[in-house]
Amino acid sequence: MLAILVIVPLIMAAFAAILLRGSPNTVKYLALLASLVSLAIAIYIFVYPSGAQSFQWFNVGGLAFSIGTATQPINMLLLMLVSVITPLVFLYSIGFMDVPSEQPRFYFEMCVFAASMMLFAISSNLITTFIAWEMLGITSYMLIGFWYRKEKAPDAARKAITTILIGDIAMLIGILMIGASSGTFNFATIFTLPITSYLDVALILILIGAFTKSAQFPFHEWLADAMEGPTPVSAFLHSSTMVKAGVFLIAVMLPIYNSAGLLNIMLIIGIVSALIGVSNALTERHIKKILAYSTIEDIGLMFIALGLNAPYAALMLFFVQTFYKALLFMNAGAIMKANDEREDIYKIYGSAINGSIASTMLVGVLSIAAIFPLSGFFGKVSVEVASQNVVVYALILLMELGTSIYIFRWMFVTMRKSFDKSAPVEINYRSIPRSMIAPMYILGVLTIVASAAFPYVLRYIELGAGVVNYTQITVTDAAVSMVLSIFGIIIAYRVYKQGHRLHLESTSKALFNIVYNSQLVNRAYTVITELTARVANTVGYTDYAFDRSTYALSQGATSSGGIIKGIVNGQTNIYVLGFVLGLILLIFSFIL
Amino acid sequence: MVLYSQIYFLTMGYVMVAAVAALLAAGVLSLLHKNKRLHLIISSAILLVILVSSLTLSAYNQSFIVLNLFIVYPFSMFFTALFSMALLLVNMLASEYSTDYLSFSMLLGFSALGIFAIAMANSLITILLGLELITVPTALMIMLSGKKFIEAAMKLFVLGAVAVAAFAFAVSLTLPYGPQFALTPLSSNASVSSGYLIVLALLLFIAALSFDASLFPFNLWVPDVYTGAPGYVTAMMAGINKKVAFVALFEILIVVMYSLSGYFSSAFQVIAVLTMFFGNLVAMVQVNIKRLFAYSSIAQAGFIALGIATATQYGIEASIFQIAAHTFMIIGTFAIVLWLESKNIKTIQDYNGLNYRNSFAAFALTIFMLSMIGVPPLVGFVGKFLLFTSIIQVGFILLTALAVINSFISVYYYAKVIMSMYSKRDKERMDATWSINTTIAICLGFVIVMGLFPQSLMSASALASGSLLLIR
Amino acid sequence: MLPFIGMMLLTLIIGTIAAAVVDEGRSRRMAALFTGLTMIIAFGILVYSLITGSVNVHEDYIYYMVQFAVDFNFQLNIISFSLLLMATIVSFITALSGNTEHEREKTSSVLILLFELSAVGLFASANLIMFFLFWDVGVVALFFMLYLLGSANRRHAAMKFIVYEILASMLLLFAIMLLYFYTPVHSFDINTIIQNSPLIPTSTQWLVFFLLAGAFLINMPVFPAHLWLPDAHTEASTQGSMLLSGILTKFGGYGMILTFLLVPSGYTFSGFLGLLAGFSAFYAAFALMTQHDIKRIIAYTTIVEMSIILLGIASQNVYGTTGATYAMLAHGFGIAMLFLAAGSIGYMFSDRDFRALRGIIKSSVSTGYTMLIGIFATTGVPLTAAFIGDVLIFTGVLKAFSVYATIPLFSLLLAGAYLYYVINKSVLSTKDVTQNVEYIAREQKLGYSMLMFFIFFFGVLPFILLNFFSV
Repeated sequence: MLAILVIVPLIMAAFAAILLRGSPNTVKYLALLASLVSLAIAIYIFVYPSGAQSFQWFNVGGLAFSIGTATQPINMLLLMLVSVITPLVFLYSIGFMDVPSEQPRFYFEMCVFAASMMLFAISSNLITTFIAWEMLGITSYMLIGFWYRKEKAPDAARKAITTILIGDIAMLIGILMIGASSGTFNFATIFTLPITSYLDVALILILIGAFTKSAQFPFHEWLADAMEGPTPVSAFLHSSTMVKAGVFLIAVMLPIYNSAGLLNIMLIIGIVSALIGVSNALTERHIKKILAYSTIEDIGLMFIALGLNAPYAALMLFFVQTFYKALLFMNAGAIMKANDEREDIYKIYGSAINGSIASTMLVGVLSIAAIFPLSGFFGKVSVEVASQNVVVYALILLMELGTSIYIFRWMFVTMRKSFDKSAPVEINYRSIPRSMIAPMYILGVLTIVASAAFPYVLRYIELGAGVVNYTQITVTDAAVSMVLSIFGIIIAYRVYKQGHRLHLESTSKALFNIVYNSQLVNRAYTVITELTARVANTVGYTDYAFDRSTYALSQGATSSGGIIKGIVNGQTNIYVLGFVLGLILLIFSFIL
Repeated sequence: MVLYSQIYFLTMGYVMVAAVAALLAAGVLSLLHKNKRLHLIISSAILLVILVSSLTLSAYNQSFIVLNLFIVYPFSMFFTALFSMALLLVNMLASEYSTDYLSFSMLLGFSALGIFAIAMANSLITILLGLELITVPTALMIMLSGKKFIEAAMKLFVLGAVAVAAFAFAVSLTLPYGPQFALTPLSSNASVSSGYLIVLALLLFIAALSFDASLFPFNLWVPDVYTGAPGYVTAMMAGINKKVAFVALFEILIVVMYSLSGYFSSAFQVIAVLTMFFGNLVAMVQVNIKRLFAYSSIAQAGFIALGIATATQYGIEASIFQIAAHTFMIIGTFAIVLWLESKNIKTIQDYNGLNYRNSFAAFALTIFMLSMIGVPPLVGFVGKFLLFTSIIQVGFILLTALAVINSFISVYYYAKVIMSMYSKRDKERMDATWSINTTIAICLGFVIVMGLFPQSLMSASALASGSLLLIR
Repeated sequence: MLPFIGMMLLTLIIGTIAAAVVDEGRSRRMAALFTGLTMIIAFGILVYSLITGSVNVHEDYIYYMVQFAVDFNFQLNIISFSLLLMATIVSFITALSGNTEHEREKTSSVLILLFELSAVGLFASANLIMFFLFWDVGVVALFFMLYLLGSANRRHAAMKFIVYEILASMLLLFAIMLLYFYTPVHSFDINTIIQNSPLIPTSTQWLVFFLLAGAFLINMPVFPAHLWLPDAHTEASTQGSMLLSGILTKFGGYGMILTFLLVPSGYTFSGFLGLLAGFSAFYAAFALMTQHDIKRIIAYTTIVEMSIILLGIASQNVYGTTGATYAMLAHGFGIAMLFLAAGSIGYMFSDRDFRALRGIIKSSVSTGYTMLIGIFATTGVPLTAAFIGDVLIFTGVLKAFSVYATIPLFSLLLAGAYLYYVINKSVLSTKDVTQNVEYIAREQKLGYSMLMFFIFFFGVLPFILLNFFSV
């Protein structure tokens, strides 16, 4: 069976969404159905892997550009994640996206988005990867800016696409460098290439692409702003799609990065990004942005694991993070919906009112805080174990402490009861549609069982020699981790139980700026933008001046005409003089 | 059969020469019967006879000499055909717009005699005669058109006299070197080493004929006189008189003075470039349309002179082609200018919205100007193309570059006129008279058809230039 | 084999006359009919080529200049055919949907047909005289298009246009004539010159190369000869802009590809040309960022794109050339679509300053999405045709030059970033006052969707044309 068939139902649903835009109800159920069909196909492929398939897209000068699919276990891992999350998100959206007029557009974009990610998951060469990659970028741009009526949404979308464009172009150059020099785009062949400085450059460019897509420092800010998009999009974008693409690509290509000796870049960027994620999540007040920074941290941890050449650990976290992050975003969406779309956690109340939300949220929160035996625990501890270096180990522990503080702050603050009795928050919580609650439960269950399933999923993986392809979690590791997490919960409980705020900004401006450094990064972005604008202005002015100078040239020609015109002044004697001068001129031309 | 065709050939030759004489007679006669329409019909018929007979004759690639003064061969027949067509058009225009058509027609008879004399000249004396016959009647034509034209007429008269005097002097200087003024190559002892007199003769020939051919710096009178003369005379001067001077230049330089080709070639390179730049640069700042086209025609004369600079058969062919092309372009143009001038529309500003007054005239003028720029597929392109290739062929790359630059400069003022014609939509309609419309239509047809299918004209001019170089 | 080119030219000549003769109201229908027929014939060539396996058309008609062995000779190879196909499609859509405001329909119809005639003739020309002839016809047709149908400041723009273009055509003419005399066999026939041109002395080849490159760089346009383009686009009517950017600039691109074939010694300067192209791309991208008029912005993207295409041509290998051809094809569709949308924006809001525009997508959904997809198509998003072109161009560049030569790709980032900014301000944004949806004519929507179709058609199924390139 052709693996590529997995995207067909979604693509068809996308087209159906355009054609049937008159009847939104049909569209949403059709999309859900399509995602379920895709899931079925994905399961089929998972059970009966078809192996590598490719067909030539076009061929120029002997360089074949192909669409190729692979069904390696690592591909299957991501494909399964995407195809499981997709129907859940679609189901959640049925309840969440309650404005009929925007549904066709939403499902069109979501279907293309999901299809791109599935294609990405099963791609076996860089060209297919890049197509899926860029389609992800474009659809994410559309989805982040989905509510373009909102004040900030268009800007957020633009920030995302601009950042992603940088990565796309860097990556395209990298891909073409590999293709042009080696004549192939296939992953399998690329692993056998001899390491040269040329290849190093190409790999670094691809890595930059991965960093932009996975929102790593210094390209991470777009992810926080991307919260302007509808919550199902966030749930999708942060769990199985988009941000995972970068990590996944690097994980697939890890052997060559290892032999090229570029792992340290990932390690450093991963650490920096994770720290940024934690510190911002601690200070941020936007309900979804906290989760977004948490994602940056998670992805950072994955890059740390990759940088430590521990793909098993990275993929473990990769796998489990999908579920708890999707779950938490769905919770956040429901909470916001009940609170009239307010975003500041200090203005959000009563997330415990609805038992379904509260219980699933607790599962998610505990998971992210790495509490045994939830899946997050295995993911994070795997990374800790992989870190042979003491400094890295310490940093990861520090992050873990921070994680458990900010996530419980997030939970405790939103759980407060509203003082305003007249507010219909309670009723709102009760009226959260079942289509939104159901996926939460499913994800909750998945979050609990995921870690147990993981070894089965990955049992085929052969990640090459010299890598840590299993994790041995010792009791000590588990204990240290648990103690820290619980310590974090206690701190969060003490500080934030009553919706208390740490007025860090007023106590120490400098410290606040360092911790809440997203604004610094944003300022840096602004500076870069302004510098570009200044260069642009200079060039624009030059262009204008250049334009005017051509007029000067034409003016010169015209005025020379005006001067010559003076000869013809109507005086006959001048004309006779001209005749005589002409004779003299002729004599000279003869002499010469 | 051969005999028959020979007889036919000779008969046609005499018919033609007789027709030229008849034209003059008809002109004089018209003063007696004083019937404009009758004269128009008669003179047109005679010109048609000349046209048909010369076209017939040009098909024979042979020659015969009439009265030792004229010669019938493809070169002369090409130009008699061309000029008779041009005269037909000018005559038609004048019949409607001339205030004193009858005296004009008489003068036209004299003028035509001069024109055909030069076209068919077999001796330097014929050319001298022809020049006199052209210059003086033309000045008179201008003068007779009204008081305001007298200044232009006087300028032409005075300066024309200078040119003719120079020419006559040059003719006399050739006497030691050639066989009695005949249009045959100089005897072999004529070279620079034999004396500077022949060089002086060459110089004076060039100066005198450059005056009529409006080549810089002998052409300073041209803008004033072209502007000051009535439109139909301007059309005649730009379309015919100037071209006749080129014909004389070919006859003298290529036939008689060919051994001095090194000299006149370099002289004409300089002259052509100066003329082009003079014409084009000054045309850029002109406001009066008639004056603009006067300068434009100067620039075009510079292009034609490029062919002489090559001094090759191919160069002459190119010049001949361009002469034919420009004759029709400029007569068509001046026909429109003449008509609009009679409606007191003179400057570029006045031309605003011409398209909405009369779209046919605007279209035609646009085509003429595009043709002058050298836009294919119009006849002007082919002419310029031949000229450029002819100078590249002899290796004058720099000259080509300068010519190309000039072609480019000219776009500016032509485009200005085109734009003005197609702006301002709210204008009431204005219908042109029949003679204007006919003239425009004929010229337009020529420009487009010969542009799309230039081969016939190219062959004809190749034949003409070939025959010119054969008789030396 | 049918005389395809002859049929196309005849169709267009008849169409031009028909559009000129019928009354004002019917002329647009005439134009659409005849450009449509031409497009169908072009597709006929495609089908024929697919059956026979190669694009191979040779046709000779009546003598033009016997002395130079110049007839109306036509031939097609895959490069020229790709562009010809694009030109016929874009012309058809221009005629069909470019003029929904019904402004002077007769004039525009005649000029579109005339311009398409020139485009078909130029791409199909088998000798340089025909190339030059159709080049000038096209320039004049667009000059009138620009001047007769343009907006307020058209006089100035038209003058600039004609001056630059005639300069280009004069350089071209000069180069053609030099080639004729310096080719040992004295010919204007493109194939003959290509076979014999290595025999031309190198210094002459260089001169010819500079002249030809000068002409085509003006036309493409590439810095420093780009100044005519923004003005021309700002002032031209929608149809004028579509033809200008969509087709006319491709004359230069096609010419540039020819140039390297005609004068192989020009290869010496390919590095220099690549440098110029790279600089031009950045220059235009930065200059783009200071513009506010939507049409002007799109005009500058044309310069960016054409610079990148020049880079592909300069790389002088199969990838670069193929990529440049494909990118030109893609750019033709993409830019025509953007201008079509920009035109209706200008018409709907009587303003094209993006800072003053809000929520276009609310006023006209189709126009909004067309703008958006147009920008995707311009920045080379996969599955649009431009992606194929960009990928191939930069593969070629990498093979020909060093890694640094790929830096110009980042000019697309600058242009793209600003275009997204523009889009987010004007199209995808809130509208203060809910205005009723402006009427968008059915033909216009058809035009949008046809262009979109072709953008994705050639983006998803590139092998249809690209397979011929390897033949």
